[in-house]
Amino acid sequence: MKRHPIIEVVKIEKTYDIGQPNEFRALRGVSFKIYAGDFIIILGPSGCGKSTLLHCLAGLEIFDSGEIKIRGEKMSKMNEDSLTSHRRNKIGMVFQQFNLIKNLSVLQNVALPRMLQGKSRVSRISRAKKLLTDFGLGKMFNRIPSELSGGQQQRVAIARALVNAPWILLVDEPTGNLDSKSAKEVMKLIVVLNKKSKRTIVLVTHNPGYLHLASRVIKIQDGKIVK
Amino acid sequence: MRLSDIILLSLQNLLGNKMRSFLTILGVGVGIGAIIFLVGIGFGVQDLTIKKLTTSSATTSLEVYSGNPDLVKLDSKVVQRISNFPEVEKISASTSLPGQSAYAEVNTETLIKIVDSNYYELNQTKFLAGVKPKAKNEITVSNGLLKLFNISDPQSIIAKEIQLSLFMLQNQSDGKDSYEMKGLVVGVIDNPSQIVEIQDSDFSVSAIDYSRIKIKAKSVSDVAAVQKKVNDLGFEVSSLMEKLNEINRVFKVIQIVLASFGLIALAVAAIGMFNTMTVTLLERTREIGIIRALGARRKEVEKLFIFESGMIGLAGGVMGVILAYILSLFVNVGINLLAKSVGQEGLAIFRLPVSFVGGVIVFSLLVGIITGIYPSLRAARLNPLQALRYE
Ligand SMILES: Nc1ncnc2c1ncn2[C@@H]1O[C@H](COP(=O)(O)OP(=O)(O)OP(=O)(O)O)[C@@H](O)[C@H]1O
Ligand SMILES: [Mg+2]
Repeated sequence: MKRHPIIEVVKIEKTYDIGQPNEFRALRGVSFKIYAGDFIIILGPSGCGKSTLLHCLAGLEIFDSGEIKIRGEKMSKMNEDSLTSHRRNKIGMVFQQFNLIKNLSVLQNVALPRMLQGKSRVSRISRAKKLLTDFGLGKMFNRIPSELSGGQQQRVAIARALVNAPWILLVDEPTGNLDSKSAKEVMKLIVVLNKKSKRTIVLVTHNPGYLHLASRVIKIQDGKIVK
Repeated sequence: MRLSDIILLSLQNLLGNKMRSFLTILGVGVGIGAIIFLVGIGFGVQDLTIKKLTTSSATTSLEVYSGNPDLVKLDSKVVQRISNFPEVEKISASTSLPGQSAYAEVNTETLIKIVDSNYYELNQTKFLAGVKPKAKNEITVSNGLLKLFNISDPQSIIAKEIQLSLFMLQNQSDGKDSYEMKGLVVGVIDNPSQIVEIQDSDFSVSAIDYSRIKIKAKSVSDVAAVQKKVNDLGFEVSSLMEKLNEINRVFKVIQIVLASFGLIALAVAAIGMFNTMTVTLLERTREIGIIRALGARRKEVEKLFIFESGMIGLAGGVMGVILAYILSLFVNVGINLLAKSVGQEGLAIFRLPVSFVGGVIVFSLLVGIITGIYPSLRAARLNPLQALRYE
């Protein structure tokens, strides 16, 4: 039986500020496939286009040419509404900065994507509580993000990305803003999500120390895959 | 996203920034309060004016004046014709003559009214003592006249006799130009002028024409018809209804003027509100980026903002009502103290019809929503990634 990729990236190109003096080609014909259960690490130096790539996958950035197929559906054909729905229902995104909402409680932050899906209060709160408890944040429900450590905030962000049971989890530099101890904990959590919960994960980092955790490594330099 | 959740999020946002929300709401509240207060005074003064003028039966009465006596005479034939109109319930004719009255060495100028038996009822005369006259020589006097006679207790003049001289304006058949009589006082009426009323229809009919006729129509809706018919007879007619309509028109204009002053205050508040919403937008750019990145639709972001500014408008409206109410209490108390200190009875100078209050609150809500439209559209148009990069 032939396996079908969840996401297929075909020669995508992205150039910022086209036609201006500071024009910058961030992605130059990137192609790869993501299968269910994959744990892909995208490795590359700062500024090579990793975040740009993730944003394209998430439907946040519009690529100039090439194609991204989500279970066969072409992203280039999607309008604003479909891209929004793609983000809401299929993608779990963990940002390089945690991007939690500062005046909502931890619990509300995690429940937010489910609120956006129109799920009832009871269902979204119970699911958010379960995820937070699993992530060792059972006592933090009613705190606001600024009352948490960096590592804790990152775990909240991961819980928020998972609350809608997305097809794929996109994680951008999860350890960039963390000390080594918190970084280790967060990475452990992500590995468990892949191994135990069979989550499909694409993780971006410039730290080669984590490569052994991945099922596949994609190296990028100057907007191109080098290996 | 459910509507209830949109409401929840916007409320949370308002509460998350208590100080600023409160100040914005206060700004709108002061504007709305100014409108309500000013218009409320307009309503109150209008009420007072009308109350002074009307009693329930006064609205059905009309007054007829002789107009041009050389052409049409206001005489008993006319009275007869008018009283035959189907819309007329009662009619009372009277005439006023200059005269003098003398009592206990005091002799004074007096307005002498020759009246008929319906006169007291149709004029709703207030008696301070005694009753209305029944016989030809019985009279009523005003407390204004008593003052000149140095009588303070109205009861004490009852059953006393007063010497009266009437000066005839028209030449009488017998050639006399004045008329003397003794009047037996049976009642004292409440009127500050010096007046004596003689109830003697025979006398008046034979001697002179009436100067004034008072008509009571059967109902308020008959007033206009009576007025027209009497007008057609060639007399001048004035009805309280007509005056009231006039007064109400004047007050409409006054209220509009007062409300415009309030509107200026509200415009200032609305600009403040617009400013707040725009600042809020900037402050929350990042947050908008986050929820858009998580899959919030543009329409939902728009609704969040609109709802928030709508809430500010609504709360501002309610606060305006409260502010105006508190201010009105102070003003009413102040006016009452003032009125009492000059010996007047207390009065309320401020009134707010419920429908007006409701209308103003809805209006305030609308102002909030309209103010929020532009910031909300801008919020919805934000590119999520650019919004995330903001700061
Ligand atoms: N909105 C933008 N406008 C213009 N240039 C941009 C924009 N976003 C990214 N770039 C540029 O594109 C290149 C790739 O950016 P990207 O954020 O994808 O890098 P990255 O690999 O994630 O780097 P880092 O490891 O530092 O996060 C960078 O040189 C950056 O300056
Ligand atoms: Mg990056």
